[in-house]
Amino acid sequence: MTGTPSALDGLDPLLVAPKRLAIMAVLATSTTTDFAFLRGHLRVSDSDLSKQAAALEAAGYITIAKTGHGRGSATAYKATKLGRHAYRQHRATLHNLLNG
Amino acid sequence: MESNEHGESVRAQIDEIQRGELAPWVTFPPTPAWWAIAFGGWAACFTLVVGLLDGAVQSFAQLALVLVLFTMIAWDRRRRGTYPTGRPPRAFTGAVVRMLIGVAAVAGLAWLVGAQVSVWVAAAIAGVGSWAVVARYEREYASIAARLREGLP
Repeated sequence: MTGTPSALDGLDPLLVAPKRLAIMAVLATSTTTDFAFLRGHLRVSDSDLSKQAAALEAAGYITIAKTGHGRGSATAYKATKLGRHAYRQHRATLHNLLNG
Repeated sequence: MESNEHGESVRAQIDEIQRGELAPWVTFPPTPAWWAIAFGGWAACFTLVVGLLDGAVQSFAQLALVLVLFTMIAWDRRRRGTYPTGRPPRAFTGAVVRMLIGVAAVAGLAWLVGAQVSVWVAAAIAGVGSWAVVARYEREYASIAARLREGLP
């Protein structure tokens, strides 16, 4: 069944989840962002953020770089070209839907 | 009813996008007072290096100052936990333009005084002027950021 093109076709199923969309929105306007910043922005637990970020990484939308060990360790997130493209498309579709 | 729920879901996602895209620009810890002073010190040193040194020594000193500047930016980046990129939100345009005009005015005045009066006086002008420009910009930026944070959905 092919069906007719729908206004919802441009929506990315992965980005419909609010937390993943919020992560992509932050990464779309930053060079890199660390774990603490994203956790504070999303107001989620460490494990929840790790889970959402892992899903985006698995899709090739972001890269996760870990440096150091123990208390001095840091995790940095960065949107990939594919991720930025998917985000922009999702964003444009949402605006089209809102504007009728 | 279904269309209403659909519209609310779209609106909620757009709000999420607005908050997320603005976050790297408006969420940051307070800037320490020494930050503007450090820029003033850097500008004074740069003026002295350009005005007093020559040849390889000057090049080496300029390189060292550029490295200091990169280190300061890297420190700020680490402190903020993020670093915004792309076009700044429109609300910041006035502050950025005023800062750039201020920097150009200080640089122009320092250059003129350096050429006509004394390199040491030029360094003092560059130092104090840059300090004032950066301090004013930081205050203005923080105030705009606070206003934007309050207006977020």
